[in-house]
Amino acid sequence: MNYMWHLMIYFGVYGILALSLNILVGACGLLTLAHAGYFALGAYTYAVATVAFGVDTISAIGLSVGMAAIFSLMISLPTWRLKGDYFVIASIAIQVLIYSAIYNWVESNAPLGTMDNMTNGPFGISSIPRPEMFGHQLTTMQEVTAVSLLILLLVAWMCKKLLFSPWGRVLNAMRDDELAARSIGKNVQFYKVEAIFIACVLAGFAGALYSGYVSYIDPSLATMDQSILLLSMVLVGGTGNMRGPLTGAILLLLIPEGLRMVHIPDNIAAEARIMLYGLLLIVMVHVRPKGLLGNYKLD
Amino acid sequence: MKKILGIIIGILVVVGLFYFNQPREVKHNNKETIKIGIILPLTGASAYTGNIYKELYDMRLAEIPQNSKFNYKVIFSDDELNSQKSLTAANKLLYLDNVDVMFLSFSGAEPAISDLAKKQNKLAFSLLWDTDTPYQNDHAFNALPLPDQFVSPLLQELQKRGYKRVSVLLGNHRTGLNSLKILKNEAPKYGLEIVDEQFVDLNERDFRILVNKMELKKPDIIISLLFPSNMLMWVRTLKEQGITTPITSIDGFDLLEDKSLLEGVWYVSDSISNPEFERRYKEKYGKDLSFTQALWAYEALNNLINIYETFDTKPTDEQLIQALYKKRHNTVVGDVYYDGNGILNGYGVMKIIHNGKSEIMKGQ
Repeated sequence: MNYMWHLMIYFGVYGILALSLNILVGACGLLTLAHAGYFALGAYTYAVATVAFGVDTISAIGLSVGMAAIFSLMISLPTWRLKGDYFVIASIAIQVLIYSAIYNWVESNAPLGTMDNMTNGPFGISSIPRPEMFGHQLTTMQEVTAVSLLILLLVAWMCKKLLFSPWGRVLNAMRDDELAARSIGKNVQFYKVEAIFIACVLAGFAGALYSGYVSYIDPSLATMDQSILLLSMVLVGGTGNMRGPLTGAILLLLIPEGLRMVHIPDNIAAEARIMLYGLLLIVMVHVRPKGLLGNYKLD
Repeated sequence: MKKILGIIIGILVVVGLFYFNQPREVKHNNKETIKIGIILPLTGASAYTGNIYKELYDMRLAEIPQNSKFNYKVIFSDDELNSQKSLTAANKLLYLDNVDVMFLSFSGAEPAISDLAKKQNKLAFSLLWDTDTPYQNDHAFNALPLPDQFVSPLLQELQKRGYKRVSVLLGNHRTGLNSLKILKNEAPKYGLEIVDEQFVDLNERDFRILVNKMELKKPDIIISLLFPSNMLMWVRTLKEQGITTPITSIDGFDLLEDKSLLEGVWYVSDSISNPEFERRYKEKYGKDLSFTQALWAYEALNNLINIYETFDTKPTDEQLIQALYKKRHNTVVGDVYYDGNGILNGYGVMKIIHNGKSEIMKGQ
């Protein structure tokens, strides 16, 4: 059963990530490939704060969220006027920048959290303490599952309120016709900055949650593969509503795990599973170009 | 409504796979079953390495006699050398498959997985140059000797040959960084100066600028700590650019399938095979064992099975740990043992490439 709890915790984390990415991809039409970078930023901030400086859980989460918020300006300010392909390229650059910083900010003999060794580079950071809430440390899988699913519910509720508010409708207008939105007096660039800010904050928060649960993180959190996985969750599940990204998160987490259970001869099992996974994604995208439960088809 | 129904059916099918398609134990007798979970990169960029490890695990499993005291059931799990996937695979092996022992890949998640295993009173064996995990966890074992055990023979050889100025080229990976740390500490004791360190990304393929940059420091010799994925390109570039500075390596040349470009090059290795074992391997897989470091995978499983066979009933984790510490293992790679920290003690041997194959240097 613990394995199922583990998958549910992953669903809690990836659900938050998918919902936050949906704000950018689904509501604003901004295809970003930097989201894993912000996820990793949150995870690393939490890890360094708790392991190197002994900061308590709530403050460490606050720092993670704050760091992601500040660094969100890294994407939103340079891309102030960009959209479409140019925005995608800018987001890739930021992704590479964050990944490189995490991977290379290491000096073997220097202690973690110093200017010489901020991230431990390829060694990753281990022994990250489990989150502590109101003086109680979340030690069992059930407790962590309950907390992460509760947070996911809160985030989903908040995203729904935001995206179906007048603010959310401006984002949709901006996505469908930016010129028209500007012609009615909407400062679309500012709305874009706000949307990126909220999405990055949520990604940083998910990173802190993940870091506290797994107790070990390394630079693989910030790879392009990770960003593509997050984007796939949103695209496969569908954009423009809450259930699409959540369905995408469930499917892309469960399908690879489900395929582990299918009895395939050992000598071809790994390759066959990867092929089956790819095939399933192709079929889904082909049959449902809007995603499984999406309202909006990306150009 | 149809959409939602479709999704629900889809999820039910996936969940159904979890419950109704779980691995079944095949028992031919009343023996107890030892379940061994093995995490390896069977797909992705490191699949080549992972699949050779798998071959050697399979080879040892095939050698278990009918009259063994236990049934051994092995469950392989692919992690694509990704730490997040390793963790999920470990969760499945521990909680769903309920394995007794785990062999881990080298994705980096070993500390976290070893902690998970300890909580379940299970043992976890790593096969990487990890200097920390076994010290922190008495259920974690490192089944590969650490570089500090065989850096000395290399440095002695460098000193003997009169080299003074050394450059180090390494992949930006924990394995390379651990070795560099040890080299930096030990080199001065042998009168050697590390004049240059160059880090390369594991995906790097273009070494044209780098090889010339390294020449500027005028090293007497270059120590390579690269992975097979970029080692071959680096060697090719050296030849193409006409660079004649001698090169050597810690283990790295063992990992190369094609050693023909390295004729006459000597290096230190932690892997000593023997002709009989190589013959058995060739007979089973129809090819030479090019990647001799994978022998440690065979050895790790071999040692474990040998220990299990000394018990009449399935041992507890504590009994297993004590037995592992006590026993000396004299098998394919020589005489080795686990020290008090759970690290396998081996030794380095100098090898030279002759006729495209690694040979142990004379006088070793």
